[in-house]
Amino acid sequence: MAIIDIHTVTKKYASVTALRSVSLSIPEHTVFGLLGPNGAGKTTLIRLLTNLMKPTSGEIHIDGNPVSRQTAQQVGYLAQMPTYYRWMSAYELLEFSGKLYGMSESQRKDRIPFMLELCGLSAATQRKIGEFSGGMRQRLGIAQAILHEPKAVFLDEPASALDPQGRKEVLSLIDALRAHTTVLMSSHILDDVQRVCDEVAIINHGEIVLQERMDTLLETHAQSLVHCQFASEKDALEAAQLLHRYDIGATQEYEKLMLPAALYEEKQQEILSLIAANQWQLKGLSYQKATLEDVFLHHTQEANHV
Amino acid sequence: MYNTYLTLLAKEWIESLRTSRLLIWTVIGVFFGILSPLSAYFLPEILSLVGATENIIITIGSIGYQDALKQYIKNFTQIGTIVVIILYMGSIAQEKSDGSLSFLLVRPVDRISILLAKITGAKIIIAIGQGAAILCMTLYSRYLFPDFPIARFIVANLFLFIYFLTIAVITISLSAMVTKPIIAAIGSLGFWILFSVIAMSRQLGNYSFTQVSDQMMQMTEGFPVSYTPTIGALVLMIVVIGIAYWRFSRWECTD
Repeated sequence: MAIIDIHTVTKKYASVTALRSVSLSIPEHTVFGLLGPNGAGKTTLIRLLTNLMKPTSGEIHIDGNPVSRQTAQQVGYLAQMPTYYRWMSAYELLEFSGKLYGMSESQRKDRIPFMLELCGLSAATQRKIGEFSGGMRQRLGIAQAILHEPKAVFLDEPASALDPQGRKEVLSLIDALRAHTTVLMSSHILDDVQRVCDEVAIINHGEIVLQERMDTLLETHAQSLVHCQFASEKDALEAAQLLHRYDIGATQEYEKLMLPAALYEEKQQEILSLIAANQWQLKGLSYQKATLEDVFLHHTQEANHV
Repeated sequence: MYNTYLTLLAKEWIESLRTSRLLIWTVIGVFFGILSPLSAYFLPEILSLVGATENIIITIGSIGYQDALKQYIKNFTQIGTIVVIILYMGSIAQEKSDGSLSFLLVRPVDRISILLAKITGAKIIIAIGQGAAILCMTLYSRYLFPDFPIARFIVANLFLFIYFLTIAVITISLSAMVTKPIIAAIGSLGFWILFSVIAMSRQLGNYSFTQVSDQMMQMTEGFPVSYTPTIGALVLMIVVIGIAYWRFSRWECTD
């Protein structure tokens, strides 16, 4: 069942259309990646989901209800550059947040220490937020977003400003959230999305250009490659030219020839025979697994060309 | 809604303590509460000292509590206005620009609660600082001018409270309408100047909140008081809050 349902949403600013007829459906207990280059409309979409903005047209439903102040109870949000009251301690911020969500005192007493522990902040509960590092602020951001056990959590570039260690911690935390809630995270860091997301949508120039489950996406949209390493650039170039005559599309790059893995498997005998017959020195063969980067670049560049 | 309002009000209170807003305003109150009677009382001596160095004789009439009161009203309203504007210019605009307002708005919090909690917070801070000013002014004036009318002075301070509250409401409301604290400050100062000019008009002047200081003087001295400036201040506050809420409820986080 879809917990988040976005139906033909358009958002226009004065002279800019930030989102054009965006439709998305996100199932429960999914970590959903919203992938796109800077300025693609990721933050705008998240702000519409959190009621920080109103769509110019279209509808957004969370757990079956149109987005409003009431649906805020079902939602948690982490901003791209989270800013909290610098004079509050981590505990006070969560206490304040819990009260605003209408949590009872006993709920807050149980949940706040647990969240601080989960987010690795138990040693800093009484420290002022103004003294926090970027990574600590981000982890506190996740804690405040999931404190009230929302049905959906929206994380806007949750790891982009962090060092490798901080990124690893935050991504592990997001991974662990899957069991409790639905996560929509925006990012332009493809590794992060590929690592934790079950499903992904690529947004470019305010339009969704692709939405797919991660495994299906890599199977159907990404191309694994076979790299043939020759002894010289001349050999590689001649091999590429000859293979083209046999309708075998290959890309040559210095001493390397790259072929789609599926094509190589189909015509392996023919290719190796041609190489042997022409006495080109083949130094090695390697297999490159399809990545999200290939899909992303393919779809965003394709849209840019259009 | 009421619980949300109380939670936000508690946050405003702690913020005022931690960011020294309460301390600054109280120090201002104490300063003018002490300085006004002292400077009035010692004015003849100060002037004679100035005259002696310049070889001139300065004579002034007898000094009474009215002089202390004039000093109190004049100094406190002028400097106090600037201080209130500085203290509250960023109350909402700063939270908009640094993103902390989004923290509230993604929660089930209605925007009118945010605005009213800010105004109520300002009301409490102004009352405490002014309370300190009243206490100091009363103690010193009673000692230096035995005929100082304590009861009338305390009641008359209600007018001054309304005056400062009007300034705070205008500043907070403008802060809710714009995204830069400095614009809220300039706007608020503009309002103050505008209403000071209006106060000079014969017809409209009686409704200008800047005339509230005259009401205070009249009441302390036991003269009959015209309540039109207070009515003007209350109407102005209601209108400004209404416009601020209308604008604030349409604000979208775009930064």
